[in-house]
Amino acid sequence: MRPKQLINLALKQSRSDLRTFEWRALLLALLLATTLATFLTLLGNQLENGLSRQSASVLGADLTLSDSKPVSQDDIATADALKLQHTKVVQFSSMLSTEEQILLSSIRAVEAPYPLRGELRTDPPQSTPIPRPGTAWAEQQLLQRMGVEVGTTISLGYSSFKITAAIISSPDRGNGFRSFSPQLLINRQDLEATRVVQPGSRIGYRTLFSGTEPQIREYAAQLSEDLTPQQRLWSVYADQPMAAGALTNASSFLRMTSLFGLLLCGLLITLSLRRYSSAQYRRSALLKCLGLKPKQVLHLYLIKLIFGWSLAAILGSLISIILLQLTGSLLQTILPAGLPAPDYRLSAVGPLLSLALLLVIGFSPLLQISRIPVMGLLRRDQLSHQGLSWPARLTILLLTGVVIAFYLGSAINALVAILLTVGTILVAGVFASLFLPPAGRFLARYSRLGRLLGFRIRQQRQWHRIQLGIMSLLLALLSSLLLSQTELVNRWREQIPQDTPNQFVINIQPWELEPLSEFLQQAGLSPNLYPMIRGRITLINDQLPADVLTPEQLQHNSLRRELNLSWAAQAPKHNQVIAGKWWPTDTPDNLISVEQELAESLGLKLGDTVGFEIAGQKLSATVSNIRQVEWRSFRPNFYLIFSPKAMEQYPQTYITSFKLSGEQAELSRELLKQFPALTLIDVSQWIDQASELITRLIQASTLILGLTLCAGLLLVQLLLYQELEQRRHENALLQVLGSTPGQTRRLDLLEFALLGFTSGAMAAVLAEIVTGLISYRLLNLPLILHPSIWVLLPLTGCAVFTLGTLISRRRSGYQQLRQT
Amino acid sequence: MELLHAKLDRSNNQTPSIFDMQTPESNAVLIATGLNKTFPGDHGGLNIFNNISIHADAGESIAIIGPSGAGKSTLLSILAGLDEPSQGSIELLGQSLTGLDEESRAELRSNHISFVFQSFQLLPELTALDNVQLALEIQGHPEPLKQAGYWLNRVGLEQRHQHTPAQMSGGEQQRVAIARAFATEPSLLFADEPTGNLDDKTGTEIIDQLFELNQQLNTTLILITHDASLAQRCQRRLQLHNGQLLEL
Ligand SMILES: Nc1ncnc2c1ncn2[C@@H]1O[C@H](COP(=O)(O)OP(=O)(O)OP(=O)(O)O)[C@@H](O)[C@H]1O
Ligand SMILES: [Mg+2]
Repeated sequence: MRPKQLINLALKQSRSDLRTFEWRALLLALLLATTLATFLTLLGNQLENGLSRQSASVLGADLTLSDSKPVSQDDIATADALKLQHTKVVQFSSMLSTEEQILLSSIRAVEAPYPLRGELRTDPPQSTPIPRPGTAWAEQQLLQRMGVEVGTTISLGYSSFKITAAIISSPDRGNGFRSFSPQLLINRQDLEATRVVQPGSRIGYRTLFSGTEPQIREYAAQLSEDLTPQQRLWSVYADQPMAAGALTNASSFLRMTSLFGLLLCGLLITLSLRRYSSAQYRRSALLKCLGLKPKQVLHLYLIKLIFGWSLAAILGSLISIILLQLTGSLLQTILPAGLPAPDYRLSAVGPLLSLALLLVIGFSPLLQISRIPVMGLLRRDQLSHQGLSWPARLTILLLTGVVIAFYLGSAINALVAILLTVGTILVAGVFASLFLPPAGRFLARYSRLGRLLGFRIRQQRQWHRIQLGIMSLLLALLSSLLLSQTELVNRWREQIPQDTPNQFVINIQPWELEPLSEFLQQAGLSPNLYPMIRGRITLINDQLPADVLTPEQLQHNSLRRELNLSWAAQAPKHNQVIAGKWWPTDTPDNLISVEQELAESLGLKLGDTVGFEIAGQKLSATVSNIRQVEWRSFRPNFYLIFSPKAMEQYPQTYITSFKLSGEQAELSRELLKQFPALTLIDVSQWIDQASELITRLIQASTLILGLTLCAGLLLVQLLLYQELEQRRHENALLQVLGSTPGQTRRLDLLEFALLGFTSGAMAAVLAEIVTGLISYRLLNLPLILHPSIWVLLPLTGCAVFTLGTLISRRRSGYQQLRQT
Repeated sequence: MELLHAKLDRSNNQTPSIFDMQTPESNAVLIATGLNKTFPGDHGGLNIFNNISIHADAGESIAIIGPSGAGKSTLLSILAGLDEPSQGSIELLGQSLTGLDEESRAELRSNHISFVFQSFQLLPELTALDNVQLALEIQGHPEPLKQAGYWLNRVGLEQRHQHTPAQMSGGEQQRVAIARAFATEPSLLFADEPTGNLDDKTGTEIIDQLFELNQQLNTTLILITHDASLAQRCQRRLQLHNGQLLEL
């Protein structure tokens, strides 16, 4: 037989196989696997491109140095010596206001040339590289949120700016949380006049460099030799990703979600292939009887699988690109810079993954098909397959693991996932099946059907265990995903007490203290104003931290960056002193109050002395008490509070927070009008921006969940179908023994409903464990139970199985009719 | 005449395979000697038959009869090279089966051996024409379509070329199977209860067709049957009983 004829035959068979359930299930499983993998890979690539990859056009430079202080003259001199081009950027969060609106935004003050790499695109296009003094360019999202257009004048601190252009896209948006806020670009010359940048304000300073690769590499090497903890380097030639914490977590969440879907697809492919191949034994025997060689049979079926796979690959890629457009439009609205196009070459990942799965899983069934003995045609019973040996099964499992590990880029994750899946199926199956015999005995008391059921439970023990295990895991994972999606964000929000302040005011200058207190008092608010001084810990008990602390302790954040310090005569009302005593108001000593967690981390005890460097001066203080702080209270909180005397001579700004209700929104605009240099941070806007991001990502993962759900339901259907087919014979026997067809049907329904109910109950237990782990371990939220799933899951299981049974019955009955 | 040409064409076009080289002086297509079959199992296994020998000449028709479970199907599959005997040797068309690998056996089947089964064994997704054509394609026939059409017409299915098995009666399906079996012009045809699934009238028609073609093409016919009238029409009748083969 020539290859072309073999292909023709394969085509004809694939087409007619479309009528069979197992071939459809196989195609669907391949389609789902392809879609899931392609979609996830493209989405991940898109997020990565958009947020963490440091291409020159994202950095706006070849090298960026960020710091909490302006760049040192020495560093600039070195750059000049290396003939590097450079420019400085100042970035900070501040409130913008118009008559009607205020908005938390991120301000970038730049000087020409800017940017050094990439392109700043504006609408309308501008003739100058950066805004002229007195004007500003705003990102489109900023204009939308403030409800203004190009040409409007907005206030920032003591200055106002005319918006002359909308920014379409811009490099150098900064990183971390700042980059999520809508941005405003102003000229560096205007910065002073706004008076928002004061000693003690939280400001990001960036210096951008460009040059040839050797120059940049050399300069980066020099800089990285003595980077301070505040400094960060980003280079287009280095591979350290920009930290985008929330998003990295989110995208690994997406990957884990999809991993389960992929495992389900793997299982589906395995089962449908097995079914498919056993349905092919007769056909293969016949072809061999006609003289087709075993190798040719193998080729024939390989061609068929490749056909099926190509179909799945094309459709799957199309679907995943459509899904990508959907998520793209979901995420576009919250990421001001928008998402860049993914690398479409990566759409090959899904098809390749499903091909690999197919070949790995399909190889042994194909071999079995091609090895089927022809004489089976003469005897019905001989066309059964001989089952796989354990080494073969393990090899397949291992290879599947390798394929998935490749996709995830982590062998550990894949291993853990597979072990967890298999382990849970086994354990859940065994536990759940313990429940069946008592249930059978209970039902047996009430009907004849119940007695037959009891017989069946004993007879089908093995099959029930597997079925229960798979179904429980499936329901448990689906419900935990749904629960964690809807619940976690809400619970986190609910955690925030009612009277939690939603407005922070920072950068309050000492001379503004009195007028501001007065202003707030008139508005019926009497918040505490806390002084804030920045400084770092240099000595512990007169020794360098490096000499007295362990390496882990040295990693503590408090030693790696400048801390916000404060002083107070009285203990803050919302803190609780748990060791030592608060100092007398007029104590002449240098005393400090240390937050409990910090004290533990650094091993500080009452009476220890701590050395500080504040505004270039040294200061030493004795630990007088230890405080417990509720960080979630959203009030100004400090790791370290000094006695009043100690802080007298240092420059300081003040900070306060209060709660404004919706009707009092007017007040914050009034406040900014009277005190333009203050930075007012609307926490609710901040939380809104963050939780919108999370919500959108969750919506994106719902798509994945949907695909996973499809795979799951398909799997249940396949298992049921298979089982019912096997039951046909047994039911015929029961009928011969005197049962009516109605009774055997009711028996099937009863059995599957019981299975569904039991796996639902088991799933509820598993789901509680999973969500419990997530909320307790990951989010530090107290454990809560979900009574609703205790009712819903067993009912869902029952419904799924019953419906599945009814559908499968109709189909197999139909097929039986066709066959005779 | 036309057929003969087709056959000659084929042997001219193809490199002759080892099986084309028949010993000219002997007319035997099948010689089995000392066949013994024991299925492995407890208590020394299950012995089906012992020391059976068969000799079949070209064009001969042989019926194997015997009670159910006697081992008829087992014997047939051994004779056709589908299964291995526990002991004994088989020579098909002058070629010993012993030591022949799967590939060569497949080639032997596609060129010289055909089967007809009780349950027809047509591929359900293919039309009647495709089913016949498939066997010819596997064989490597130069004009499979023409040949398939010719054979379907010959078994009286002119109107059914494009019908699938599901659209045909049992008798019609068996005719397609017969067309498929003869289309490759085999030297040997094995049939396991070819009329077992058919009513008497249809069965008789099928048998008529089998013998007609057996005569015309000089194909050796070895068939298993429970049907006495069918057995009666064969030149020889062998009974398998208690592991022994008796010529009746
Ligand atoms: N693979 C096998 N393993 C063990 N025993 C087998 C095997 N195949 C057949 N047998 C046994 O060999 C005996 C002969 O079977 P066979 O199918 O050849 O009988 P038969 O004469 O064709 O019967 P029938 O007329 O019912 O078709 C039976 O007892 C059967 O159980
Ligand atoms: Mg038989």
